[in-house]
Formats: sequence, C-alpha cells, structure tokens
Amino acid sequence: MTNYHLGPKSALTLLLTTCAFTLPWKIQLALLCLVVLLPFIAPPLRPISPKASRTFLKFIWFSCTLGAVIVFVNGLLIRGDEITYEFGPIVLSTEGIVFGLQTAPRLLLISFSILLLFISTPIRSIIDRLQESGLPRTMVMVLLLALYFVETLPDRIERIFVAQEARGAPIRASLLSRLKALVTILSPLLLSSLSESVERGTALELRGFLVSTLSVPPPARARTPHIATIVFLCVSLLLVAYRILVWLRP
Amino acid sequence: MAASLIIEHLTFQYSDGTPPALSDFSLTVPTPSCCAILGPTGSGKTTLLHLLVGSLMKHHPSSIAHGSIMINHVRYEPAPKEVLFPTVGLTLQDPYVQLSGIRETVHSEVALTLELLGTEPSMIDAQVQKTLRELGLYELSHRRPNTLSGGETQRVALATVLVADPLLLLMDEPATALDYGAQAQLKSTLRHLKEKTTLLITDTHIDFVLEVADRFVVLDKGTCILSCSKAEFLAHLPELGNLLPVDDWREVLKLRERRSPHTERVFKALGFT
Repeated sequence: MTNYHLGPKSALTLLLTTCAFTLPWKIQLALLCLVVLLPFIAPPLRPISPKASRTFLKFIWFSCTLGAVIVFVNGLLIRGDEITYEFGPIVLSTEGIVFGLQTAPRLLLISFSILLLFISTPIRSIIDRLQESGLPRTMVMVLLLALYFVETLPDRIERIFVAQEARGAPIRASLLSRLKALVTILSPLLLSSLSESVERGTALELRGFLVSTLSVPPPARARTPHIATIVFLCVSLLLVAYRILVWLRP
Repeated sequence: MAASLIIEHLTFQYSDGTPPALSDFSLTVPTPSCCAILGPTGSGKTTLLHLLVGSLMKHHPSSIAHGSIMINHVRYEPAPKEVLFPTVGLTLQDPYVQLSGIRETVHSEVALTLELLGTEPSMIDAQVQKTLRELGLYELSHRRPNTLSGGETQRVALATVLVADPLLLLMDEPATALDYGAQAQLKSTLRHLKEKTTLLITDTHIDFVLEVADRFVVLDKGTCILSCSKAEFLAHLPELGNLLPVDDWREVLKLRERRSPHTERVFKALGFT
C-alpha cells in the first residue's frame, strides 16, 4: 500500500492552523505564499490526480478573489479616522483594510492547510487511518457518505442547470440569473439529495451494512510516528506556549 | 447452493387504510430456477422484493402484513423483519445507487460488501477476483466505478451482491437502463447464474426475462393474475395487452402459428419450446 504520509500531513495541517492563530498577519501572508507552492515543490504534498490538481489551482484563484473581497468589505464597513481611498460613496478606511489584511491570511491559511491534506491523500487512506484509530466502522461510513454528497454536489447542480436550460430558463445569462437559478433549485436539490441518500443507505444496508457481524474491529497497526510529525507537533505546541506567554506578560 | 422460496397468502399494506400493495399472493419457486415477476408500474413488484429481503418490514414498522414466507426452509411470519443478506441479495433498479460511490476501484467497491460482512481480510481478495472473473469484469478491476458504462455498472452492482454468494438473488428491473448489447451480456450472466442460485427478476417488459426465466408471474395492483410456465405464459400473452407491452409480441405469436421452418429456427434460438 502506498505511504501517503498521513501522520506528517495531519500534523502539518495542525501546525498551519496554529500559525493562523498565533503569528502576525505578515508572517501568515508569507506562509500562505509558501503553502501555495508546497504541492509543486514537496512530493508528498503533490495532488493525487489531475482532478485534485485542477481543484487546487481553481482554489488559488478563488482565494485571491476571496482575500480581495474580505479586505474590501472590511475597509468599507469598518469606520476609522484615516481614509485610504475615497471614490464617491465608496470610502475605504485604513483600520478596516488592516483588519481585512489580518483576517484574510488567517482564513486562507486554514483553508489551504486542509485542502493540502485532501488533495494529496486518497479518501481511502484517510478512512483506513480513522478505522485504525478506533472510530466505529458505522461512523466512518456515515462520514464517507457525507463527503460523497459534498463531492457530487457541483455535478448535481450542473445537471439541474442543464435540465432547466433545456426548458428554456435563461440561467446562464448573467451572474444574477445564475444566483436566482441557484435559489430556485435549492429545494429540488435538497429533495433529490435526501432521496438519493435514503436509496444509497438502503443499498448499503442490503450489502451488509449494520449486519450484526459488523462488530469485528479492523486490525490496529502499531506505528512509530514519523520524525516530521513529531517536529510539526512540537512547533505547534511551542507556538501555543509562546502565545500564552505573550498574553500573560504584563 | 440455491434456496427454495415459498410464499403463502401474503398480503401487505404500507399503513392502515391504504390499499394493499400485495393481496393474497402465493408463489413457490423451486431450486435452482429463475422466476420473472411482471407487471405495470405500481403493481407491487418492488414491494415484494423488499419484503423478501427484509428491508420493508424493518423500515415500515406500522405496515400491516399477513401470510408467510419460507426461504431455504426457514419460515418468516408474515415476512422477515431484518435484512437477510447474505442469504438473500437484492440489486436495486438504479445500479448507480447500488454502488457506494466511496471506493476508488471496481475491485475495492466489490470488496466493500465482504468488509461490511466482517469477512477475514485475507479471504477478501480471492473471493472478489473469483466473482469479477465469473461476471466477466476482471478487466475492469482497476477502473473507477464512476467511469463505467451503464451495462458495466449494472454488472458491477450485481457483483457487489454476488460476491457474498446469496442463496436467493432478487433483481429489480435489471434491464431497464441497458442497451441491446448490455442486455445480451446480462442475459448470458443470468443464464449461467440460475444454475446455482434461485433468481427472482422483476420487469415491466417481456423481452428481457423471456430468454432467462422458467416461471412467470404477472401482478396487477398487488394481485397475482397469472403464475405459470413459459409455454403457458406465451399462450396467455394476447390477453395481457392491457398490462404488458405485448404489441410486438403479437406479431411474433402470429408467426409462431404459421410454423414455417424459418420461424421454428428463430423460436428455437430464443429458447421457446
């Protein structure tokens, strides 16, 4: 079985999340740039499939837009003494922009750290580790089905859009019409998802899910933690300790 | 080893006050054989299959049922209240739903059934490979399940059930979404299967089951209106026009009456006596 370095990668996710809450925003921004490059320079973090690769690249563009929107909205909504930019009714305060700059890298760093784990590790590997950790198989299956639902959601929306288009609905005419269409498809989307979940659950039950013999636990494997796992966890602990000391300092 | 199936005076209502989905239904299926349950939509075919596998009584505790079902010499009154898998296996009408969607390859998707049953891990691989070979799916072992064609998905769905060696296999309209070639492949698989497993197949069309089944049951609004052999079924076919799409078959039957050497050859090829 391929070693996907799940331990070090989980520890890295934890470390980056800790950084998002303990380090100044400028360092977070620098870390974010490094994290974006990691799949291209660190082999264990390479996307496992072309689809995962596309998702990562799409998320880079999405995060640029999201970061800009966070900074803009904060600059617009948070009032301050100093004005950075003014154009008609649009007034951006320096305090708001700074707050946006502090918030955006934090959110993006957490998102990228989780994304890195998922694009470079097959779901199967994560499941195996969860089972080895002692999570009940029923719980693992429910988690997997939830993940499957999330994964197939864009395709499901696209199918409904195509069906609506075939009926002449102008759903792709503009961003506004897409948003309007999204609202109208919410109920059929939820209903079809629920119905499929019930059917999928029935199908799994008919294949032995929840059968009494299921109580056989998966064999647990003894593992020595990878050196990177230990390093990442130690750095995370040090950062938390440092932050607590800063708070306690008079 | 195939399982015998005896259903006696089975009546089923989803709840009090609703019309019965099945009414005084009786059926004996000897081992091993293949029985086709035909009827229009809403005639009770799917209800019957879910009653037999045990999922219906389990999930509809307020349902009302009478009669009895005997599967492999075990009597359930009125019907099983727990899922009987792996003794009884059921493939659903939509094969895409039958697959979990959470496994990366066809091999691991089929293996999931055995894992769910708690099979010894060392035995899983051999059993999966054997099933995939039997169903002609071995070449697809490493394909992703969501990249398969309709016919392939149907056979993989069948493999997810067959891997557990059920004694009684129930199939809910297995040919609905298949093209002619995929239907032919599935027919060949089922002809081979019925030598060792008792099969119960539902369908709304005659074409598919006519070449596979030995026994035919026609349901209408939950009531059995015909239960007979293939020869008897063909003889009754003209009377079933309001329930089954028999128009094409009327022409076939007319040809049959003429009994030319050519039609004899065609009927022989189709397995008619």
